[in-house]
Amino acid sequence: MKSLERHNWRGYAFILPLMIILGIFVIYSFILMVQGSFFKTDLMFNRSDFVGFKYYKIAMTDPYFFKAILNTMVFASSSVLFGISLGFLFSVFLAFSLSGSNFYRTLFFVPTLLPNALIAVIFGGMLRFRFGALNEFLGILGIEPIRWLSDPTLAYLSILSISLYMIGIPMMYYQAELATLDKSLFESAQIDGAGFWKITSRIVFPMVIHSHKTIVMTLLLTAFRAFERVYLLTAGGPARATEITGTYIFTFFAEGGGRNIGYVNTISTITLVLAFILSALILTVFNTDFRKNRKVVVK
Amino acid sequence: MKNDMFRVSRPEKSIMVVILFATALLWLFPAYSAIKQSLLFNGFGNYVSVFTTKIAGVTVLKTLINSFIIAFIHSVIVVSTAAISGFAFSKMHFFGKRFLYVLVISFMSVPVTVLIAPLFFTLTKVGMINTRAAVFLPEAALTLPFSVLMMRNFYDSLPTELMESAYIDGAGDFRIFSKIYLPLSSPAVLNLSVLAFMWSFKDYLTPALFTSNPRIMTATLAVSRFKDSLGGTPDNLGRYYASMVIIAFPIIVLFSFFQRYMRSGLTAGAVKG
Repeated sequence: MKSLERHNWRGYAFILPLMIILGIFVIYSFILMVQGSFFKTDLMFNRSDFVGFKYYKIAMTDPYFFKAILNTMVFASSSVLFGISLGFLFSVFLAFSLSGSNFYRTLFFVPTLLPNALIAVIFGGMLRFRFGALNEFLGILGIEPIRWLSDPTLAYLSILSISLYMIGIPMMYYQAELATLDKSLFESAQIDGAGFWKITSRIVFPMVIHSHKTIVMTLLLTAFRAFERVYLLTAGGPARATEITGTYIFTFFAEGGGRNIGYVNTISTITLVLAFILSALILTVFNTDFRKNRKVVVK
Repeated sequence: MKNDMFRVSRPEKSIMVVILFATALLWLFPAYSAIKQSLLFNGFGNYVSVFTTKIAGVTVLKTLINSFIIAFIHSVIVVSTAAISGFAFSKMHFFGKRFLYVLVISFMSVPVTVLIAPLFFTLTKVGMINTRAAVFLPEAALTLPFSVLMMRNFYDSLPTELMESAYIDGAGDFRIFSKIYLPLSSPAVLNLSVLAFMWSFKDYLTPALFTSNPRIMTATLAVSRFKDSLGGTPDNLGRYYASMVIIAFPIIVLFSFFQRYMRSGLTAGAVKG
């Protein structure tokens, strides 16, 4: 008879398909990337010159690379902020029986379902200088048309505004957790005379700490994955004001006919290290009570 | 009302409804904008034109079908691979299991943008560039870490005793997985299938980088390829936004219908870190 605790070599066979896919497309890519970052290479990784840390020095002294990292963090943080404020508030509203609540629940979730690329071009159309729906609407109010995407500050705000529409995932977590809360807690608070705002901000908000953490984690863990929102709305412009790491890397990859691949590998390596550091930080900060509360939201 | 989280006054409820209604208008404005622009100059003629003629060498319906094919294959690969390895990580014992699991999970935050140069190289070397495999395989590599986490968490919630008694009856590991645990995990399998389908459907970078053949162009890629092809003339702007509305419509209908599975899949997966 086999013992359950004994080493079972068949375990390797079970994870083999997973390891093959990850080995070829992720681990092998990491090796190519780190090696390639020290050479002048072309698209097919034919090395010509060893350059040592030259590309790393270039990246470290390029202010646009730092700006791209900063912007990546700002855009991800804006999603967290909108999620925790508005996403939380709307989830509380939807915990009451209101007319049309099913409609609102689905409507607020729709942008999360759509491809980011599609959202970016729809925003692009809405913000157009001519034929743009926003300028036409402002025209009715007597406001002169505005060049939303040509001014660096306005373009930055335009990209930030997309975060507002991305509260679907945070709302999903809040709604799941709110449904599990013990209602008797609120009754005693109401007997003590607490009103809606007091109960929502002083009792409910701290109670869903678990969802707050999940939201911060999921949104920041995927921070460096952002791409379409900037690439298809402003392409990192105007004057590179809205550049994020994704568009920074992509631009060097797509331009220069493959002459920049060594540098692309370098900035990819740095970005990957940053993504790993960020996720290690987030997981150590948040993981402890995750184990304890693991059953809270699971249905 | 019984269904309320706590007691609120009637005026308070009215304020909530007003705020939700105003926000809904803000949410509907981009949709209004897209529909309005899809009717520019030729009205519904734009839709007729988009349905009957090719843009960038392909029809808009064909791009939706291409997305479906790729998303379906991606979903099958991800679910089967994640289920069997999630089972192994949860219920089997082998040397280095803990290390391998942490390694797999740590890939959850890898952004595809950092892999574009090496992936382009690998896919060209193996002759996959410009095939559907160049889209669904890299996608699977990036969605598998979360999927494995989700499936392992589900198998963790199933009792180990089933495994013990099956061993006593002489069943092999694969039979135990396929005949006992896999059927029990069908709720998680269903959630993950829907999620994996959506992840692939929404993906833009992988098809944009590794395919240029219009015959396999996905709907998400058409978002930018149609724009490049049509250019900025006003009547083409109308046709462009008509095609965007046609792409958005089935996604909204389909995914709204299945959103229950996505919600339970994501909440279950993320909570049990």
